[in-house]
Amino acid sequence: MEQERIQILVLVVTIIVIVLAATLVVFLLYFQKKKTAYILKQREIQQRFDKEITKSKLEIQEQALQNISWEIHDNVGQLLSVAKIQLNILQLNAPQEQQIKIQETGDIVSKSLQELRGLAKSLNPDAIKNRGFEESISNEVDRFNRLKFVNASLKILGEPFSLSNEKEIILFRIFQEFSNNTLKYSKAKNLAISINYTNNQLEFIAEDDGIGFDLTDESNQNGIGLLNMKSRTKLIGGEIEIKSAKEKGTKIFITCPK
Amino acid sequence: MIYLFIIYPILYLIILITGIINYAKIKDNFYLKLFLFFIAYSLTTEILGFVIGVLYEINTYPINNGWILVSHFFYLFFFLSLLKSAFKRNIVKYGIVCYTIYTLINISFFSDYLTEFLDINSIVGGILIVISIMIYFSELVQSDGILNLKKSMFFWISLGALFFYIGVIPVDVIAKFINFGVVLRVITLLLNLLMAGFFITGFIVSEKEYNR
Ligand SMILES: Nc1ncnc2c1ncn2[C@@H]1O[C@H](COP(=O)(O)OP(=O)(O)O)[C@@H](O)[C@H]1O
Ligand SMILES: [Mg+2]
Repeated sequence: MEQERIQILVLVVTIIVIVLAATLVVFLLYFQKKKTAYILKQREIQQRFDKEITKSKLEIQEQALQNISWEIHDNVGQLLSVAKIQLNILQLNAPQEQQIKIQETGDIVSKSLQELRGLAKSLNPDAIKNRGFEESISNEVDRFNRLKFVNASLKILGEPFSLSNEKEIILFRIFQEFSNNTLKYSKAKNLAISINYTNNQLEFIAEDDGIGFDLTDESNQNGIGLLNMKSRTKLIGGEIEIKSAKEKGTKIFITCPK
Repeated sequence: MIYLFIIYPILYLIILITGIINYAKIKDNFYLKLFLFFIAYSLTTEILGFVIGVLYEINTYPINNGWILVSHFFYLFFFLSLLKSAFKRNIVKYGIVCYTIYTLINISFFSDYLTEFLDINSIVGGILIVISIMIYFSELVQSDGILNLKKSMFFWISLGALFFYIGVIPVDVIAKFINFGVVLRVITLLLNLLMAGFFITGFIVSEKEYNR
């Protein structure tokens, strides 16, 4: 009898202990849920913050590029124009044998002026806005071919439409980053670009046939160019895929929603 | 009535089978694989216990005492592996060292491993395990790592072990003074069922990426 009572007592104690442990666990789960919610919110805030930072960085960059562009156009351009005019005056009363030389020099100055204007336009965000994405790209392609940097080609598919100014500028800057890399590192002969307008998005592909590089290699992750391409694409809600292999060339594939 | 003991081997068999079916989920962590071995070992113990003890009615103390020691060391090292803070790890490490020394002394001089139940060992080990689980929980509360506890097998194992050991301590204490009667058997059975339930649920709902 006594034994039975003790056993019941043990049962009760066990139940109490278990209930206490259960309470503890429930409390833990509740706390963890609260914390999860809090962390998720923090992350969201952080992401929004990062986005703002990227955005303002871009704005500052664009501003700087615009200033450089103005500087080239107004200052250097002006100086070259003056040089051209003076060459013309010089040509008038120069002896016959120097006429041709001066004529050639004048042509070089004109060409420089033209190239500088082109460069100024490709740097200036307003010019990109005015000309639009497709035409800006096509101008760059012409410029590369004219200067014999690479053999560039542009292919356009689908029914063209334009994106918002912001998206177009950013896409163009991504392309510039890519083509800079191609010119700087790839030793490529060809640069193939294609723009494909589909129903709800724009697909942009640029591909060089140069030496390529190892994407996973630490030493290539130091540059900010590739990172910038990614963060910029994210900013306009698009997706980017960068592919490269040694001796096979490098390729970017971007999709950007309308 | 005595044949009720067949439930134990069956219970461990079910845990083991669920574990093997879900092996892919746990194969990235050494201690989770060890856990599966521990379950297999427990199953063997229960089968031997049933055959030798219940059917042939021979003394099974060495088998059961072996299981008690192995399970204590397994759980202590298991929870030690989950802790990150050096201070908390040290607490558990000292616990393990003290427990080892105590066990060695106890078996060498005081208790007979072969003919009696290592009751104090069982109580002390159980308390140590409960403490290390509490320490593990306290670290969980502080860490940002796991955003979804329900998908972590470690958490389910800790629940099973916590409820089992916290519930079994009063039983062990009182079993020192009275005969192991029906009510105590029922409590032990229920605790085992509860623990098995947590383990089985863990194998089913946990996810691979949380079991590393
Ligand atoms: N088109 C390319 N062809 C060959 N190598 C490239 C190309 N684009 C990038 N790389 C390699 O990847 C590295 C990182 O590029 P990037 O992030 O633009 O940084 P940065 O241009 O400042 O060096 C470069 O240093 C170069 O070695
Ligand atoms: Mg670069």
